Amino acid sequence: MSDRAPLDADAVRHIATLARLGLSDDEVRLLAGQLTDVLRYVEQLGELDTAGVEPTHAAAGGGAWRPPGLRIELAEGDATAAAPAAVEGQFSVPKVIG
Amino acid sequence: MSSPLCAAREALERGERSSVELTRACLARIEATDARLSAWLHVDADGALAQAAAVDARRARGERLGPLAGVPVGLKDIFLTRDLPTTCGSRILEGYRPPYDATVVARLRAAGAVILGKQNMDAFAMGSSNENSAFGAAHNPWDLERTPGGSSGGSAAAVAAGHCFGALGTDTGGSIRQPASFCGVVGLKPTYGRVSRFGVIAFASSLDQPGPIARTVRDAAALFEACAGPDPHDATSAEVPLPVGLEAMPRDADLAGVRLGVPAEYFGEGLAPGVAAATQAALDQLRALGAELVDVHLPHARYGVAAYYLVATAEASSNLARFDGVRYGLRRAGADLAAMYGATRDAGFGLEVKRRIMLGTYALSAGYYDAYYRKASQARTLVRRDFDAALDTVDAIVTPVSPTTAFRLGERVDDPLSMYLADVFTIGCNLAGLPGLSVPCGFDEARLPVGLQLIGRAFDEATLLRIAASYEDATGWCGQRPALGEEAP
Amino acid sequence: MSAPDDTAWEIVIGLEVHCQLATAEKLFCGCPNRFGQPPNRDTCPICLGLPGVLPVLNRQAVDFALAVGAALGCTAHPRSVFARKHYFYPDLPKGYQITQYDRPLLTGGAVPVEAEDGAVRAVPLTRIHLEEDAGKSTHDAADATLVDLNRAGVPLIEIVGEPALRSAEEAGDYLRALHAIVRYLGVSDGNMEEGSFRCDANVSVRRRGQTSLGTRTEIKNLNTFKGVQRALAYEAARHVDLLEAGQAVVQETRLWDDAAGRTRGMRGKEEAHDYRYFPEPDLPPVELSEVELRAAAEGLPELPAARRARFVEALELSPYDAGVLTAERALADYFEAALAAHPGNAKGVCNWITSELLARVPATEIATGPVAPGDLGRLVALIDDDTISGRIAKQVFDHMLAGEGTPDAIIEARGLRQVTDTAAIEAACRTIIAEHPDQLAQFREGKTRVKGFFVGQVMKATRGKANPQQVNALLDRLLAEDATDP
Repeated sequence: MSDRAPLDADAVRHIATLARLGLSDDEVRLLAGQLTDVLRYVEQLGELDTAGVEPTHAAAGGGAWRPPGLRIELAEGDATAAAPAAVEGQFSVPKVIG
Repeated sequence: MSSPLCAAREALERGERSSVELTRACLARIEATDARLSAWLHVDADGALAQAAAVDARRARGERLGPLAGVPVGLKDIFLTRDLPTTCGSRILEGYRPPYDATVVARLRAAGAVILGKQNMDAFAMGSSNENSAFGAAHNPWDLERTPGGSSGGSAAAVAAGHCFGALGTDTGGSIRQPASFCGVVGLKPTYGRVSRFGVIAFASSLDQPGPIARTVRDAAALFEACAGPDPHDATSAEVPLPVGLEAMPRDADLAGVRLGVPAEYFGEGLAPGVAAATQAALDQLRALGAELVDVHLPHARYGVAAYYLVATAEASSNLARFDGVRYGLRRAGADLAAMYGATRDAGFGLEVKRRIMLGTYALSAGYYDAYYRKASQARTLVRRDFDAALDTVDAIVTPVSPTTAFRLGERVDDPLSMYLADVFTIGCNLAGLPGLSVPCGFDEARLPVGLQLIGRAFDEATLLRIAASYEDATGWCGQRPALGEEAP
Repeated sequence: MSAPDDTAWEIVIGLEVHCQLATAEKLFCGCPNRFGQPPNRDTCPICLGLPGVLPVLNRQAVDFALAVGAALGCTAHPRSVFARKHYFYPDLPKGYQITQYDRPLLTGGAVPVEAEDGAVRAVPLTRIHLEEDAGKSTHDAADATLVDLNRAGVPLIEIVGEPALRSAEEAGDYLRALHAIVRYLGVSDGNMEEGSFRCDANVSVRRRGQTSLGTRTEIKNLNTFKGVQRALAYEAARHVDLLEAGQAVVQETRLWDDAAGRTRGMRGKEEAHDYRYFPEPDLPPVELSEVELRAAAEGLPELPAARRARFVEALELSPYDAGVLTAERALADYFEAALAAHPGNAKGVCNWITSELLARVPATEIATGPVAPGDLGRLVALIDDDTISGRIAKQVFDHMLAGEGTPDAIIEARGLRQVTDTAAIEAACRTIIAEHPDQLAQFREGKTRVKGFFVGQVMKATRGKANPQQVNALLDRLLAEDATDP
């Protein structure tokens, strides 16, 4: 990990695109520096010998099946009630050109 | 001291007080002091009084009532409340009113609790100071210049200021325990899977856990009991029997036969002198109560912050993808769909949320997954094994909650890494899925509260609560209140 | 564009089939799983991706997937893991799809594909995993894309085949075989028009003998079996043309335009995908016991290939007839129920189904149609025991289609029973002969074809109920008698 270059502005912009965050240039500059600091800090994990160590993703247990019929009923129209834009019961977004 | 929530409940049961009276008193206290504290994002005065009147009417009719009937409580604004605003402290959800109640909210309502409103928090529970609230930081009732902690800072401040008899917060890396310690109240982060996460806006799904904040251990136990237990809507909630009657723990019990582990890793440099002194005094007190103190080792503890900030941000980057301006919340216009997404998320998320989405997206992205996300998840396993091994030999582990007491608002905002590093003592519980409790253990030289952390075995919150209650009975730190003016209800 | 030269080029095709499972409820919430509702009617906070919601797994979907796995000989894993696949699109409510990534429920297995010539080839599978469907976006409005999330969260299995198909025809056969199997198992309605059974294809070509794969293109929007075959044939030919012209195939996703009969590159710059898969923290791994895994295999119905073979071997049907009957499970079930009412004549029952019933009732509606299988079997039995003639049987069948009841009731009510009384038929024959002296004279002059006229007249006089064999035999005798005894 330690040979990894710090995040530059282009890398920050690429990640922002993946995350759909329209960052300003100032934000890009600020985040490039701050994220580089954090990434340098987390590189200490490289010291750990994790060969053969199973990753932990969540506590074990649980995992029950959903009981049939368990449903949160919405009133008619509730689905789109909070939508910024809706047309005849459908969510409306800027046209996607296929 | 008596426990305000338990005492209020008894007074209600005996007919000495009505729920409307208690609710009015809470609302008056909020009215009188919240301009200084900003602990609340939304107070539902009319709704709360209506709930209180309904409980009083039912009681008058002699109906069977739930265990919290008529008791006014608050909710961190991360819990979905049907028809009440739920913002998660973020602009992107400003004005949002969900169509359903979180499971724990439904359980509180079923228990008869009166819901006063929604409490201030760091946006999306990301922060340790409340300064990441889009609606302005809450203040610490012990010193208004200082942070109440975060992310459940509004809840801890409100409880400390006597605005409510208890509150529900959430804890992903210390967000219940740290503000509880900063505000001199009790906070319990239950075992992962103990309390349903359904209807709780997700920050990091494998770490988040709702839990109570209250003035005393017994009050926290009463709230915990009312909202814990398996939920068919949450596949990670566990079918483990919940002990009942926790708040009826015997008074002034000793700790004979209790083994407490003290990890040297948590008592090193970086611990503020006031915190070190209060914690040491607490250890002495626990020994005086009959507990046996044992050295334990958590050698991977120092990797906790690094592992945590990769795992938590990776999950957060995923959980926050749904805030896209399509179905609810803020939308900013854009020339096309991508521009709409970018503008909406840029305008709706604050800087800390963006920082974490960026870090998490990076940690999961092609070419970096193994080095960051996977490595951190493996480190998490090592941290968990440390705790499991230590808890094989002791009943609970005792540590400080935070390296410092409440710091000044604005002091750390420009240095996110230093803010992250301060979570070092609380993060382990979340990585390992274990219960952790913060109980007041005195004050530092600036008369700011210090909290003591107890970490227990999975699903053994009862032991933590018993030890903490014993300590609380012996010390009376919980009786100390901030001097904000009038009497608490 | 030239057809690929079979001798020089080899086509390599791999198909990914998305098959909706016909569960009662969606994969992670309790919304009904059905088609054709008003927009967003079948939604709830969970499939809308509202803040705070969590998925909980539908057991029926897992059971259905296991049944498909058992039918195709896949390895079912006692532990499989859901993962999140991230991309932003308005019909993907959470910004990620819950799917399976590095730990799928099923791996391996094969689809038995029968070619025209009857040869069966096992086409290997890579894996089958469970995932949730996305909603539906429509782009018909002038300035907006509209999103309906009724489909969001419907359970899918993705059946990923190895790149082992060698022609467009074989790909079509593979899809039809897979389609028959999922319908047989009752785990999917397989309705391609409604999107229940969808297919993406990877195509490449290479010079015969070459072992490495050529550059592939992915084709989307394949909605019919015929479309799949046409698209693959077109695309393979396009590759060959490019390569033979010394140009390169560009790795890209292309859409099949069925009306134009061609594929085209997706418009706009296709963004490089980085799906950022990671294990779904809201769902613990799916843990299945050996008992549960075995139960899936034991509960399987007889599959089309086995049933077809049994029809040929035990019932002596032609491979063609057996193939027609087993193409749909409902049809094969109908046949067997009809045969139970008349076990002696499989061929006859089969013919009545394939040539009469299917001409009038679509295969998909046969089980719920007006003719109960037992009644059809009975009808064939009544022909075979000479109660009615084949021609009368067609009349009876019309009445059965009209819902008039059992064949016995119809024959009784309408007096259609065949006349087999020799004296009665002989009397009718004598009357007809006596009434037609001219025709008799012609017959005597050697125009034996006139016998047909007499048969027709007798049948007409008896309103079709006379046994035709008896009429023929009697006329032969009576016409001969008259010739020798003027």
